[in-house]
Amino acid sequence: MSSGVSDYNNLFLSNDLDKNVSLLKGILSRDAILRVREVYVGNSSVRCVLFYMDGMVNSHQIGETVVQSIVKGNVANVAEINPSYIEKNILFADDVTQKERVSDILRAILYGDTVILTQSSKTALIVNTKGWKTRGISEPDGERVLQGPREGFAESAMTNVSLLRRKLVTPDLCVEMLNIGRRTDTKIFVCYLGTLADSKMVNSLKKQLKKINIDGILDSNYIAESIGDSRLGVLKTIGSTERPDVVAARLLEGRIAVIVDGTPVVLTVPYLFSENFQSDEDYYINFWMASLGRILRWFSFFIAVSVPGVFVALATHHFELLPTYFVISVSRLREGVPIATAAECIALIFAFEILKEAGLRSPENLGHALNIVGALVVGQAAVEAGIISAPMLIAVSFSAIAGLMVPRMAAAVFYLRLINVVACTVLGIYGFMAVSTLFVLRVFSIETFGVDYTISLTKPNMQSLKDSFIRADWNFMKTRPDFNHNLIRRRDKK
Amino acid sequence: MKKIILSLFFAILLCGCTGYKETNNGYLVTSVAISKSGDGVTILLNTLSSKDQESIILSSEGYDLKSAFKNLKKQQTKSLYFEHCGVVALTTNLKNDVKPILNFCKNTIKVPIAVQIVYCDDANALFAADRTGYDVISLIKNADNKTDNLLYKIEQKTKFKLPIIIVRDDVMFFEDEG
Repeated sequence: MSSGVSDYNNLFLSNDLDKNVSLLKGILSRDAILRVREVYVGNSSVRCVLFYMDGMVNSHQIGETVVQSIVKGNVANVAEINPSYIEKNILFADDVTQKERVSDILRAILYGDTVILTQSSKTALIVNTKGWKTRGISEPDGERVLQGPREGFAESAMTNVSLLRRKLVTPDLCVEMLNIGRRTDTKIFVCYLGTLADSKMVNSLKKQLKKINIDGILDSNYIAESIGDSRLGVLKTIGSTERPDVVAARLLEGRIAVIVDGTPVVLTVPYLFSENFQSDEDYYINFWMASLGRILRWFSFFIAVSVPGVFVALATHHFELLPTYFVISVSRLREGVPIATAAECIALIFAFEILKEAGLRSPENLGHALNIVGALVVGQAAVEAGIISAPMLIAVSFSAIAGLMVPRMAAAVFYLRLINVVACTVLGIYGFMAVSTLFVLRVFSIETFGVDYTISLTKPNMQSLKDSFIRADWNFMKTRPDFNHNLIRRRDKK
Repeated sequence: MKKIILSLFFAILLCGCTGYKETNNGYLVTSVAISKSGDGVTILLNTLSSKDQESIILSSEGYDLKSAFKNLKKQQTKSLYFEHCGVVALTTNLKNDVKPILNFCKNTIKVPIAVQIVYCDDANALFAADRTGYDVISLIKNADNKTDNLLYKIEQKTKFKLPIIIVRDDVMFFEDEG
């Protein structure tokens, strides 16, 4: 038994057709959907054996371009019949290759191609007959826009590459293929624009991809967690999107995309901190509105991580900073609440996360009902029952709503919010200051593929600011982001 | 490095929450009155109740200020929070002991440094008739030339002049001389 097709890298076909057939049959003996068909070329006695997987191939195409063309093939001289002759004179198929290595042949069969073994030949013909069913192109649910393209990537990598190529009609678009995963042998496509991407970065990425030692890749996140410089951090250092227009825009900035077969989520590197505050729609709407959105997202991030912690610090350590009657009012509303302010805050943060997760994982209609039940019924009832206090509910809800403004930082917002609450409980406002300082130091120390994570903030020139805190008018954005030394900086130059 | 950070983190957690207070578990003191009667000292606290925002008077006696405050704390099940204390009123017979009293207020009960220090002729009358500490504060704030009596302003001075609040028939007013 073997774990993957790469185990047969050193095995080659022989000249004996029966031996070859039994070899392939033996390897795939426990696969119930394997189909093996024997045909004769034209009216000759030359035997061919076809191998393909039922359900993964286009049966109609096999019938017309492979079986029919072989069976009805016109053979003048039987001695001439070999794989090259069949490829050039008999087959109607548009994409035919010749392989001798058993691993290549197995890979082709398992990926929906038809393999033709011919008598007295150690070369197999591989005909592209892929025809499995995939989901159509639709708008990604998580990245909906009011303006701009509505198409999203699908699960088929080939479809995704074609979507990208349609956006970037240039021979400069490089698409390199790798196979990762011992058992899944997943196809990975590394895409970049040859004249814009940093070749060192491309090589570094490919090197890291080749180093991945895993038995299966079922989603791009398997890759995202295996490459990059800050793998264990809560901050994203590798971009992900389901939108071809976003990937195309990133490639035009000199970035590199990684398309993984079987998932609509495409990775892009390098990913900068300021990208967390960008929306896909920013570039399709008026730049005034886009800039307002970005400023609000930065502000929301600050609110999301700080409000519960600062509220706990003020209510439990520094209430001299609050007006007396406000303190009295908060105290009055807390009368009867059985748990401490800090515990109440942490419990509410977790309650919100539970509601959010439940809403996300429920069917759409149930999700709305769940939100109403969670927000109105449970929230109001809990306040009336004296389980939680209204001011804390307001503080945590406000922070939670603000957190939804920066979905790309969901994990960072949650953990930072929680750490802030704990630090503020222990040390008051000094705890908040300590956590904020450590966070800023951490963010400014991260590198992503050799690029400073905060490069758009640490180089405070006008060009870098034009696409970080705000989104300037396209006429002012003459240069690409400054993270690539080999990059052609100006967008209007060849 | 990670071990050091983790040890520091747990050390902080094990230290407990220094300075952690729950406002609904205590009295919010808005003003303090200290008076001398015979051989002892009486301390009166005007506090706000979080339940109905009503004024509650707490009082205690002792042979000195420290013991009076100790007795007061013993009587209470709730904590006393002086962060919102706006006024410390001393009876006029304490004129010669102002400095130690101010030191006690600042360092032991930890009133804010911007608290108003005033004299009064009768501490009991000052908080009578449902008068809150805020009535006393607004009387001081509305008066002209009565802003130099803040704790941090007078604690460094050897000579200072404090306003005197007189309470007559439930009416408060200032006496010019202090």
